[in-house]
Amino acid sequence: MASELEKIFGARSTPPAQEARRLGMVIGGSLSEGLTVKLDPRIAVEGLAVGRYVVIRGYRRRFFGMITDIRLDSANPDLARMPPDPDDPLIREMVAGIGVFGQIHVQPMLVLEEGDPLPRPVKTVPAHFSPVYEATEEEVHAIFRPRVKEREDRYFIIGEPLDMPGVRIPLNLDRFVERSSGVFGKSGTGKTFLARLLLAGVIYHNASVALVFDMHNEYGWSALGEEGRVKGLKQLPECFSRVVIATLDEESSRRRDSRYDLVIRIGYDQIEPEDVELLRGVIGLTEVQIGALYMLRRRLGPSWLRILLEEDRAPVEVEEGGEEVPPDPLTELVERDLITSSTLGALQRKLGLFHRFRFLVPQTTEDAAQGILDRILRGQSVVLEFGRYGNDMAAYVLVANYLTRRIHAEYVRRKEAALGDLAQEPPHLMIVVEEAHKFLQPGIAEHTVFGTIARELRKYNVTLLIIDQRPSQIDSEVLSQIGTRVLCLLDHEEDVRAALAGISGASRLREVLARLETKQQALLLGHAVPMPVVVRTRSYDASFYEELAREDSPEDLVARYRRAMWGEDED
Amino acid sequence: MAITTRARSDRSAEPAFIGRVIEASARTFLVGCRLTAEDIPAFGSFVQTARGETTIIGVIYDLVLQGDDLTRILALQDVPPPEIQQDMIENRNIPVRIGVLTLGYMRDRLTYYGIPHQPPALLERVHTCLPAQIQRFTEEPDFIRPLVEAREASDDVLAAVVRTAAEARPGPHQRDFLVQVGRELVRLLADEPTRLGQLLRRIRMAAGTP
Ligand SMILES: Nc1ncnc2c1ncn2[C@@H]1O[C@H](COP(=O)(O)OP(=O)(O)OP(=O)(O)O)[C@@H](O)[C@H]1O
Ligand SMILES: [Mg+2]
Repeated sequence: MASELEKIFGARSTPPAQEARRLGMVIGGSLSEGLTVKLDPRIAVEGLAVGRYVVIRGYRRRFFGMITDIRLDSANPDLARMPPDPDDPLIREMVAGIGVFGQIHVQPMLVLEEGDPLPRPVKTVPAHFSPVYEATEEEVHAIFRPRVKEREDRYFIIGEPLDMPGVRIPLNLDRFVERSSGVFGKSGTGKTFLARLLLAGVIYHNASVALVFDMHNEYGWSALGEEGRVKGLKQLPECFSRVVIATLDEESSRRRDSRYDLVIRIGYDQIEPEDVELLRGVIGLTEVQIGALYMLRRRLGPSWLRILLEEDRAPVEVEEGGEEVPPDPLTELVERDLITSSTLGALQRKLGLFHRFRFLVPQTTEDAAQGILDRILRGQSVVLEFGRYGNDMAAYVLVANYLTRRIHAEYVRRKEAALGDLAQEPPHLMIVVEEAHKFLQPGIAEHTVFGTIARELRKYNVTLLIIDQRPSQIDSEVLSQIGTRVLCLLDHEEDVRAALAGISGASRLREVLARLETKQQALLLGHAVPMPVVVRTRSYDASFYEELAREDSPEDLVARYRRAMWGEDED
Repeated sequence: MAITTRARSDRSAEPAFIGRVIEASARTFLVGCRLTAEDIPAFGSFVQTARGETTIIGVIYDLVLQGDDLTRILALQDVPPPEIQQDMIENRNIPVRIGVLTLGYMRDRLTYYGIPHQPPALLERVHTCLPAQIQRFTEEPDFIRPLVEAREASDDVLAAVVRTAAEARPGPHQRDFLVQVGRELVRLLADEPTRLGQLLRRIRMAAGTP
């Protein structure tokens, strides 16, 4: 039949593979606004999706871009408004693609020049009518391919691009930890799973030491996923000795069979007003009350908090002529008008919740911060389980702030003492905080050590990995310092905007971000990837542990990458 | 399908002679002839004539049957005798003037759309086109434009031309052809949605039931 037709019509040249991937042509746009591409009539609009890669073939350059929007247009609005017989399939076929047609919006991101193997950021746009193609797997690979300079760079495969199950997207771990990073997404989108995946990569490949404030006990030892239990970081291959689990709540850790190594106790006299100050938002401290904290510390010395909370039970009354009253330090302060009794009462009431925190003890000889720091300096990552205190925001904020302040101060001291001698410097540390906005809200971020770490970048070898549902509640200056963003689905308009703020051309990615699937899809952008990419994130399950185990041995990175990327087995 | 092809080529293995050019301009020409009413070609038929090495292709957009004295006399009678009327249709060669719209031309086995360098020469012979020629000439949808733009040809002619061209193709290819033509029309007539709608509906009828 076919040959008979060919006899009549002449053989039709089969379109080359490239033509089969053709989507349309550029009809307008700009570098800042992105490009408008008119789809060829044969392209089914429905078959496209925001987040996919396209390649635009200019005269001597190939431009890489991402589909950021899809829309319908018509040659004449009347035609779309009064379509001739839209119900008739034949007529619809005639009109579709010509009279009414699909358009896609493409954000150009990188350009590959002829004769230059390295993709560069775009500085121009392709000409009118340049043809646009779906990117091939080879092209995507060429962009994300690790560029290895004598094993300096280390990579971790984070997932696959949309609709390209054969290609893996590697994340440059060194760049990932070099600056603070963020994982954002609404509840249940897989932030914790993703963060744990990233941490596995970081710890496994020794890119950094991590300190995880594990609010819900999901990082160290076994966590509950929707499909049963998954392993914690300490259970991953090679990681048992590299990860230390510390706990605030021994009872809970024991109940969960967590293999903790360290129990954290903090003495009242180790706590300073600065540690308590950060709770202002959580327990509602006023400026006057905060001022009083510092005054108490000055007047009463290190045991200020113990005295304050011990006096809790006996209300302070100033009695006329009551010279019989034993000399009580708090009463004395009130008498001397250094604090009003109502302020004192309020503080005692608000800080009274410390009584519930079993990890706070009146006195201890241990130094929790030093204990953790020792492990970190030895190159071990520490996961701090909060046990039952994870649900208490005050406990979380207090402890995370308490420890981080001390560890950061020590890092600053050591880094400065090292005088640039790399061997003397403390190992790179990444501090992981969930519900990060509690530490980094506008108005709070300026005062806290977390804000400081985010702002001073990598100066002292400490960076943050912040995990949050509401990026819009994080101080915009802090957000702007974030190097790598891993964005899961966000649906509040202001969160989407905040998550993308400060990245050129990123506002165009809004549609992409708002259309991610609710789980295991993320938009990656920033420092650790050459261009923004939507990935189906790797599953954190048995197959992951196995793959990780196979990634071992310091063999040639290129070979290792190839195998992971293309399934090539060299032996 | 092979059978239909043969049947068609049997019926008109040779282009049929119609008449000669009696008037010509760049875009149209008139053909004069005497034909029995049965042999008069239909609106929308493809015809060809030559100018040197060039074969000019056009479509019939107008037909004028010229009556003579006898016609006029008979017409004056209350009831023209039926046997004479029948004879007129079957046997008498009536002078006919055929209006042809030039769509393009073929030279050196290549097809060009639009008006030829020169109009056909007077008294040049005009023939019908064979299905294979029609098919080749209408391979590109560009043949539509002169029809859309011509003041002389109504959209009825356009629809008839498309139908003729579709019928010159084997069945399975007719639909593709109609879609291709339809798209060209959408492209040309995007600013005239009403006219476009009517045309598409008319062309659609040529495809029969979907
Ligand atoms: N990469 C992944 N591999 C396997 N399962 C995953 C992955 N990502 C998400 N999931 C599934 O999605 C569920 C929710 O993920 P997760 O607990 O990480 O969400 P979350 O964003 O941290 O939510 P919340 O804001 O409530 O803390 C997990 O229990 C798990 O079953
Ligand atoms: Mg979580």
